[in-house]
Amino acid sequence: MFSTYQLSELCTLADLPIRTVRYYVQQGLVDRPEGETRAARYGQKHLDQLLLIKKWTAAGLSLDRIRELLAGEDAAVPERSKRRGTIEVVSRLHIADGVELVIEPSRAGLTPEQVRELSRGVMALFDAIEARDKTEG
Amino acid sequence: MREALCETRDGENLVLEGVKAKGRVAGRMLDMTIEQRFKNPEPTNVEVIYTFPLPWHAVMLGLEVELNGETLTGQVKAKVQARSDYEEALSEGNTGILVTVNADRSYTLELGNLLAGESCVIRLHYVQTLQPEQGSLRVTLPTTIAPRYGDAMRDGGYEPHAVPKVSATVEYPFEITLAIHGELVQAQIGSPSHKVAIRTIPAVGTKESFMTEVSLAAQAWLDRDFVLVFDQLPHASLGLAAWDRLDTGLGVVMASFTPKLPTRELLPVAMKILVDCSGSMNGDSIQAARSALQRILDELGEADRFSLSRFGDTVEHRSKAMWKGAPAALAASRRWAEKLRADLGGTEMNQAILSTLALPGAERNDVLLITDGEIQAIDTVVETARQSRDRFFVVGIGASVAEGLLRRLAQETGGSCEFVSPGEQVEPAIVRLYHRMRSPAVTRTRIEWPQGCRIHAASELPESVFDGDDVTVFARLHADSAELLTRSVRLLGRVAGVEGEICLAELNAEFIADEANTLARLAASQRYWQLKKASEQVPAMLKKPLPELAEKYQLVTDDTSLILVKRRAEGLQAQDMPELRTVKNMLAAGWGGQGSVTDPLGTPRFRSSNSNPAVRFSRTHDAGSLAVPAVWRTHRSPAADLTDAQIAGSLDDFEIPSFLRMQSETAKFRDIQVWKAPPSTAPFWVSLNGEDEQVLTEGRPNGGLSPAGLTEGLKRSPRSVWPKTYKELEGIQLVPRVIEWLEVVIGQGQPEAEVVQAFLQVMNQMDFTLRQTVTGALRNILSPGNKHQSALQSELQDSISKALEDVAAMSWPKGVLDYAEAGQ
Repeated sequence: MFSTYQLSELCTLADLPIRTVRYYVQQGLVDRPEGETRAARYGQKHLDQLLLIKKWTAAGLSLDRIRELLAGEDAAVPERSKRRGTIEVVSRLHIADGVELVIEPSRAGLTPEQVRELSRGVMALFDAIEARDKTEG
Repeated sequence: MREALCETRDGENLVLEGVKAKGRVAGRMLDMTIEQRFKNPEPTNVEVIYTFPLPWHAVMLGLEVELNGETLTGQVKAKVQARSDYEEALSEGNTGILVTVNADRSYTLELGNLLAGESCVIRLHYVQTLQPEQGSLRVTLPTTIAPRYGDAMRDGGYEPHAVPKVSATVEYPFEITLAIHGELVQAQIGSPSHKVAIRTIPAVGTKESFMTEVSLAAQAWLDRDFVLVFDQLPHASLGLAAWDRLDTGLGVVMASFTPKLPTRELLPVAMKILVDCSGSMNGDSIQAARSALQRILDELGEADRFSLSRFGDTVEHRSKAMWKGAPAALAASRRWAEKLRADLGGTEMNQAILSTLALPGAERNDVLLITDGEIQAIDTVVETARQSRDRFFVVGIGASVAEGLLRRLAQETGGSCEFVSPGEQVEPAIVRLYHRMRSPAVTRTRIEWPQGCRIHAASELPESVFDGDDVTVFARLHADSAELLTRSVRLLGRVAGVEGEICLAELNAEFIADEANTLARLAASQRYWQLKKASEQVPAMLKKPLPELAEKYQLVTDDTSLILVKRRAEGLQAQDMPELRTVKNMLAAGWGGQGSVTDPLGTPRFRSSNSNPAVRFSRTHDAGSLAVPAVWRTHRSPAADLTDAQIAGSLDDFEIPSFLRMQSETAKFRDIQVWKAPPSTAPFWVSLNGEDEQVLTEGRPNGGLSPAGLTEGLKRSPRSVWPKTYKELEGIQLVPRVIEWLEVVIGQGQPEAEVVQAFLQVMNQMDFTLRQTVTGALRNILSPGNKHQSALQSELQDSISKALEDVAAMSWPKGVLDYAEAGQ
């Protein structure tokens, strides 16, 4: 059976404020209704989505994380924080006094060519900003 | 991603076009209008959500909206009703504007169904009573909400849609103009936050002939508080009275007292200092915190007691108990203050306060908190502070400090707040702070309202009254004539050491027409918030009529919101649920070290050195010649690289982290004489803080040299390379506190080289055998001093030997490590 609710009914069933429900819809966490404005109708699917989000937020998940989970991303085990004594070799590209670009190529998944391209790009941008400031100043 | 449109940097797709503020300052009142301009540049129908701050004392009085050439005004309704009106407007395709207040008293504006290409101007009107403190007045307009530590919904009480969002790339222009009238014109006016133009112009519409106009002298953005400071104000209480236009026969009196206390001897202070070293304090803020702390230390004397702690994720106490303000302790504190870094991560303020309160101290202490206040879980902190019964004094630091949170903390504990903008002189704030802490407490304060009037309702006095700090209170009075309202109002109280009750301030209110009923609305607002936030002791009977009071006086509160609905003509209505466009706040200038605010405006911030950019590894020494790009290894783990490097040995230096290189390098430079550290084994190294901490991490010393370690090093290294300065002692990893002790206790006024030499001489004569290393019980008897050395050397060596009497192979004497606590 397919029951349809108005937004206010849906809010009562989920026990959530109307503003919050509409926010979830606008954020894409809950599907948009069938029909628009006055004629908008919500069904069991919407209610289930809301109850799931409610459960997850109560468990302390952020809305960003919930969005990822809803989008079907793995509930991956969070990366372990680095252990003391872990050695990490990163490169610091010196751009100007006080400006450095820190790259850990293996974690960033960049090829040497890409790293060079990035470095050149950042340097060029810095020069452009400086040159502009000089002409303006 | 349509969402991304909001974030583009070039401005075209931003919904918020800019903010303009226009205000008028007269007497103790600031009357301000904030104009927010929105434009929907997209082809879709949108709903705008904007969470923004207002000053803590601001009372929002009105909303005016310009939409499609029409000017409309909003109305305050019960919160539930306002929400339902708004939702209905949206679902019917009309336009609604809703302003609600959040738990931290920031505001959220919702502007729904702004159709494609439409513009909308929102004007918010607020009034604020100004609070001069000791002849100085600070007027602040916050413009952005900096990121706060903690969960905005769980800890900060925000509704999901209202959570403030921040972007490091958006830019919104900001303008402000203030007209200053009355006696404030004579004050010294300046802005520590912005370049301003101050000019005197003929006044319009007032009794005076001149007024002062303050406006911005350079382009500004919504990225830092606007601060205007008035100095050298005359100390004078001021009052206003008017009829309440909503209640016939009721008058309202606003009394701004400037209390004057009898001159007393200054009291010693007992304060626990707690400095925020969380990541958000990085950059300008920690610099300001350091200078504030140095100034605070300058004022301490022998009679004062204090402790020093810093916190982030964890809390670190410099001393185990409170120190006397003796020279050694102060010198140790200065060194500690100099080294403050914002390197402790998060902001676990509650834990830090609990831990600090637990430090042994006097029966009643003051807590001095130096912070940017960027936390969500303020309720817990305020509750902890209240239960301690200690007074909390706060120095708020940063370009966009969380004023409201800090004010609450200070107010509810009977302390006070001072704010310092980046680059601002910290001196006046610290002087005022001490003036309060060293003054005797004022107790049993009460107000004598005008004779002949019957009190209908009067606001509570704050927890503490300080000399020269304004106290603003309101009363609603039954009075038969306006003249009765202008009779004398007195602030009375008792001061320790003075017989009986004394009058701290007195004033006669000036009767005004007040057609807008502003005074009555301000009085209602103060009553609302005082009762709302009051503890459970307040009878429910008093709290029950609050929503009604808020609606009657049209105040935006926890129970009420501002709402405006514009019905659209048939055919011009929105056809679908609007897309959401959350206005992201600009990242506060200088927040967490994001650029510096203190840089003089207009000067280039970066020195150009773009020729031959160098690629370096982070752990290498700062050698300047590493211009050769390193080999990028993309698909291999760093650990594998290191092993290779170690095996190969012939690879360039900079591919191996320096600490792994140490051994081969020493071999390479065998002929050059260098300091030879003792082996990385347990007896030679001690931990810097707790005993249980691991001294060696993967074979690398993690602490400092133990006495045996130093002795061993001295034996291995030729005399010519022994350290000669405190800095060099640091270089060989001697425990920092031992160096401090040398500098502060032994070396006071003595040449550095002599002190270091004497110390190493004494240590060199010690002999820790293996057995002693194990038991730590035996000491070498020192051989008599060399006949050839100077009297100063002998004297120094003598006092050092004495202080080191309790030395053991693996531990420095307690008296040395806790030198600042000695002599208490």
